[in-house]
Amino acid sequence: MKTRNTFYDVVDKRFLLGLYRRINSVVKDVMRTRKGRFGLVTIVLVTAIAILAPVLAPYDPASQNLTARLTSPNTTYLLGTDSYGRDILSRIIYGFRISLLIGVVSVGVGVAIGTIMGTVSGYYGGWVDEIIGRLIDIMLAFPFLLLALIIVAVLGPSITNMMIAVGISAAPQFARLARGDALTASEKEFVTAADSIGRSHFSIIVEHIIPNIFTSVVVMATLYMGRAIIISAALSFLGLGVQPPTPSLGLILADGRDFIALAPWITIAPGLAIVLVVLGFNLLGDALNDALDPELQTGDKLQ
Amino acid sequence: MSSTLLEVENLSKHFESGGGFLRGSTKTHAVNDVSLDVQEGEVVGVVGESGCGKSTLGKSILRLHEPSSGRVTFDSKDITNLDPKGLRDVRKDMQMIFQDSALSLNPRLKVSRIIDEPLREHSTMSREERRHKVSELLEEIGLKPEHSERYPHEFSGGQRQRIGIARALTLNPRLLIADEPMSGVDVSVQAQLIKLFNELQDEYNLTYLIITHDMNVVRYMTDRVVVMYLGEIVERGPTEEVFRDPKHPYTKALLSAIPTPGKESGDRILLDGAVPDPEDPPQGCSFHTRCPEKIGDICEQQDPAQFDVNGQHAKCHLYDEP
Repeated sequence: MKTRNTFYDVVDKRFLLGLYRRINSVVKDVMRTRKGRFGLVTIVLVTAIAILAPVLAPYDPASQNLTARLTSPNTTYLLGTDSYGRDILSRIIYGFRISLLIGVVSVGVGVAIGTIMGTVSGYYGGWVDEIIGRLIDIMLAFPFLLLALIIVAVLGPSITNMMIAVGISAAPQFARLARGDALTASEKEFVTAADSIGRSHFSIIVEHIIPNIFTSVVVMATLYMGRAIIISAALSFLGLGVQPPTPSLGLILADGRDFIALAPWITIAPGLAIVLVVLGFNLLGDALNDALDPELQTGDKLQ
Repeated sequence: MSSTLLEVENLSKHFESGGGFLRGSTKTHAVNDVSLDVQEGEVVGVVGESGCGKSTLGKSILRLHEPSSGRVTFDSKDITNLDPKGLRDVRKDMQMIFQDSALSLNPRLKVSRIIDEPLREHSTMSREERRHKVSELLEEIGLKPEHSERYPHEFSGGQRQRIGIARALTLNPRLLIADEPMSGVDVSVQAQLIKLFNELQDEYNLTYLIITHDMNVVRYMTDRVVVMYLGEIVERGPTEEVFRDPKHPYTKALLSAIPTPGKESGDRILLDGAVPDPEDPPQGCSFHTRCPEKIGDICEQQDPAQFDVNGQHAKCHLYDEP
C-alpha cells in the first residue's frame, strides 16, 4: 500500500505548520521592500474595506437624495454625490467589493484554464503542443477587451458571465506564460531524473513542473488582477457587466462621464480608487516575484 | 562467481532533426551498434570526448531515450520493450547520477523532498520512516541531517553531487549509471567523490557504469573500460591492460594526452582536425580522417570489425591480419 498523498499527508499538522512558516517567511520578504510594503498594505486595506463595507459606508450606496444631486465634496458627503444624489464615498466602498470579487474570480478562472493548457502543452510537446499552441494563438489574436466582449455578448450580460468572459480572455496569456516555463522546466535534467526514478507524467507535472511555473503565474495573476478590474470597468461602462444600480468602480466612473466638467469629483474619486487597487496589486506582484524565488532569498552558502 | 548484471547488444540511437514539410530530415547516429556487458560488482568506464554519444548511451540503457535498435538486458531480463509499469519496477534497481547537479536537482524543492522522491514513488514507508531514511542517507554521503531543510542552491557543487548520489541510493539499486559525475567539481572534490563512490560500492554492493571524459577517473575507478568515438566503441578491455598497452590509435592519443610529471609534452600524439559531423560520418573507419596510423585505402573504404587482441578488443584494420 502506498502512503503518498493520502488525506493524512495533506492535513498533517506538520504540513500545516510548514505552510504557515512558508507564508510567514514570504510575507516577511515582501515587507522588506518599499514596494512590497505599499502593495501588501494597500491590498489588505482595500480587502478589509470591501469586507467591512456595510459598517464603513456612511450611506446606502443605492439610496438617492434628489435634493442633493451633484453636490461637491463637503462634510455631509465627504466625496460629494452623483447625478442621482447618491453618496460617492459609500458607492466606492461598495465598489471595492464588486471590483475585488471580479478581479479574484476572473483571474482565478484565467489561471486555472491557462495554467492547465499551457503546462500540458509545454510538457508533452509534439502534436499536443501544436494543437493547444494554435488555439492559444487564435485566442491571442483577439484583443483582450474584444474577446471578453464577444464572450459576454454570447453568454448575456451579468456579473457572473462577465467574470467568466474576462477569465477566458485572460487564459491565453497565462497559457502562453505557463507553456514557456513548462517547456523550459521539462527540458531540465531534474525532470529526466524524476523520469529515471520511475515517476509518472502526472507526478512530474505536479511536483516538478508546477512549482517551477508557480512564481511567474502568481506574479502575473496579481498583475492581471488590476487588468481584470479595468476590463470589467470597461465592460460595465458598455453595459455588459455590472448592472446599475450595483456599484462597481467602473460603473461609477462611467456614470460621472457626462458630468465631468460640472462635477469632476464623480470621476476623479473612483478613478483614483482604481489606480490605487491596480497599483497595489502590481507592486505586490512585483515584490512576490522577488520573495518567491528561493535563489534570490538571502542565505549563505554552506562551506 | 560474478554474473552478468547488464548486457547491451548492438544498441543504436539515432536522432532525427530538421524534418519538416517538404523537407527531408537528417539522421544523427549518436550511438551506433554498441555492445557491452557489466558484471555484478564491477566498475565499467565509458570514455570518449564530448559529443561521442556516451551520455546518450547511458540514457538509452535506462530508456530515458528510446533506443532505435538493439537490446538491453538487465539481470537476465530484456528491458528493451518493457511496458511502462515493468520499466518502473526495473528502474528501482538501475539509478542514474547526473552530470550537472545544478540542473538535476529541482531548485524549488528542499533537499529532504529531493532525496525522499524515490521513496514516495516506490516504498511503503510511513512519513516518519522516510524522514529517518533521509537523515541516514545524508549522513552516509557526508552531510548533516539538518541540511535536509535547505534548498539545492545553498550547497556547493560537490555537496550537490553528493545529494544526487543520495537520491540515487535511496532505493538500494544494484546498478548506478553515473554520467560525468566528476566534471562539475574541482580536483580535490573529485578525489573525495571517488572515495565516496568506492566506500558506497563496498557497503551497498553496487555495480557502476561510469561515463566520463577524464582518463584519470577511469584509471582510479574502473575495472574495465570502453572507449567510444563518434558513437561507436573503438576499444574495450581491462582498464589496466588498456592503459599499459592501448591498441587503437584513438586510445593511444587519449592516453598520451594525460599530463604526467616528467613527461615531455612533445610525446603527445596530436590529432589533426576536429571530430567529424555525426550527421555525416566518414565512410569506412569513422576515425580515418584523423588517424595517425592510417594504413591505406582500406581505412577509407571498409568499416573495420572488432578484433580480439589478447583480451582487448579494438575496432581497427591494424589488427586485421591473422
